Amino acid sequence: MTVLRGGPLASVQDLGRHGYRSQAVAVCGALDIPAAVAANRILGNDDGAALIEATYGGLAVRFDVATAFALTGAPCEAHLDGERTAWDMRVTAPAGSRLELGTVTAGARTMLAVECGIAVPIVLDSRSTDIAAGFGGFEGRALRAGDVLPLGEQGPAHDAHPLPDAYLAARRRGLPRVGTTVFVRVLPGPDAERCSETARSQFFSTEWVVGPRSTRAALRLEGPAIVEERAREVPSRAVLPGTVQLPIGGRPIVLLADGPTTGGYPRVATVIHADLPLLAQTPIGAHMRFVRVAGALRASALTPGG
Amino acid sequence: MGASPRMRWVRLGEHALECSWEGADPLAVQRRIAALAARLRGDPKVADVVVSMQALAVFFQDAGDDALLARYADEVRRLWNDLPPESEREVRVVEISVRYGGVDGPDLAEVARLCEMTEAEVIRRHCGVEYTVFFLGFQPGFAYLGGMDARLAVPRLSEPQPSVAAGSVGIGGAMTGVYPRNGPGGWRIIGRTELTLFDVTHTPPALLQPGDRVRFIPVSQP
Repeated sequence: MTVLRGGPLASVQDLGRHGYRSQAVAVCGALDIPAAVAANRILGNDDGAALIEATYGGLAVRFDVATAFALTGAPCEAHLDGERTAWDMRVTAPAGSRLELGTVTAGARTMLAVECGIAVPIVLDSRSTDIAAGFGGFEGRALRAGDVLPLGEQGPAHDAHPLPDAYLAARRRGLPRVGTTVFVRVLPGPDAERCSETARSQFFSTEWVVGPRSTRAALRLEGPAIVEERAREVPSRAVLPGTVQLPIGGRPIVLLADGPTTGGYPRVATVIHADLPLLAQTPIGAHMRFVRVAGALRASALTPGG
Repeated sequence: MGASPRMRWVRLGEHALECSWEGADPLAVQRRIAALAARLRGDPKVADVVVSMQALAVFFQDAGDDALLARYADEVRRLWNDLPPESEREVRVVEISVRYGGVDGPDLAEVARLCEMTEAEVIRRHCGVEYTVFFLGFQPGFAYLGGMDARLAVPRLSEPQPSVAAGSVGIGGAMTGVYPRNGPGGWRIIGRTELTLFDVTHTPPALLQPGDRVRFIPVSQP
């Protein structure tokens, strides 16, 4: 398939590059994992087949062979050869047909899966693009007009599997829009005690806004700077997607999949795993508040979707 | 190392545990953490291990409740206590050839000025010690090296330079390191190496691992 237009940011991703944090390699991968899995399951692909993640729509592609595709995640106007095309289902695409995505109306990330997956080379066990490091996916970068993506050759591996509960639940709730408020559940971060009571109180009581400098690496929140008398730097420590840092500027940074593996800012909170897809679908201009989840976890609290 | 440093541990998200140590000898502690990390990697429950400053994060395959994390922290403490003393541990030494100054080290003159010494003295002191890889971070394969001559410590730039060349050798605060790839960088650049620090076709892909020792060799004598 050929990319006709990359839109604001489209890249090849799969479920991430795991097992290389020790080498300072970011996990990367689809920011909304349930949406990626859903798109693949609709087509009978392996859950982890590589697909395209489009940020704020705008992507346009041509299918150079007869195939099928599925769109999940952030909804937008989508036309196949000028005709509106369906969401969350398998759509056949004749050879030469063009798919165009318009602007997103809710959420931020749209997944486009193709039958048999995108067959770019595997690098360090994954087909995900590491844009900052410049490897993986398609030539280690965002997609642009003229890029030709190889498709997998084998037929669909599986019968249709049920879509992930987390995806269906998000669909039912509706994705966040600009100006609406998203509530993100967090555990106390490892450096929470290093932050003053006042700082933590301000962190939880402020309604933050997702700022324009947000990327696949991090959401940069805007709002009143958190006043902190204590030192704002701590020794460099491990961070992960979902880590919320409180830097010197006083405005929280929420790390996402492309973020660094270590950092020197206090880690005030950690977004729970179940809310990472919510972070992925919170657009610039949406509001965000953090909600404490109990610090002591028992086994029952850790079931997915909880 | 004297009295064994106290270990503390804390939850890091649902799937990970961070253990940290405070000891009188941070260099010895850091080397011991590196040795411990190597030990932990063989454990099938462990998905990944990240060494950081005086700490170690263990990522599990499965989410862990508090009881599981506490049990694992005990296991980490036991492994720590069972490590052979430093003198008995195998150590890898990597020599890195560096062209200092000129176009390869655009900030060498500034560093010399800030440190109140000649450029030749900066180079001599930079090459004069055996460094220890403390941990990796920032970019794939970027190793933070400890053990630098304290007189060479210079602050990081307030704004990163947009394009530091791959192989650039820099000083940031009390640490030194080599940028594996070109890109933005906040450290002061005093030289450059041709050595490849990160290669996706290698296992492991990063040349430098925590605990390795590094020596810089000037390509031409000052």
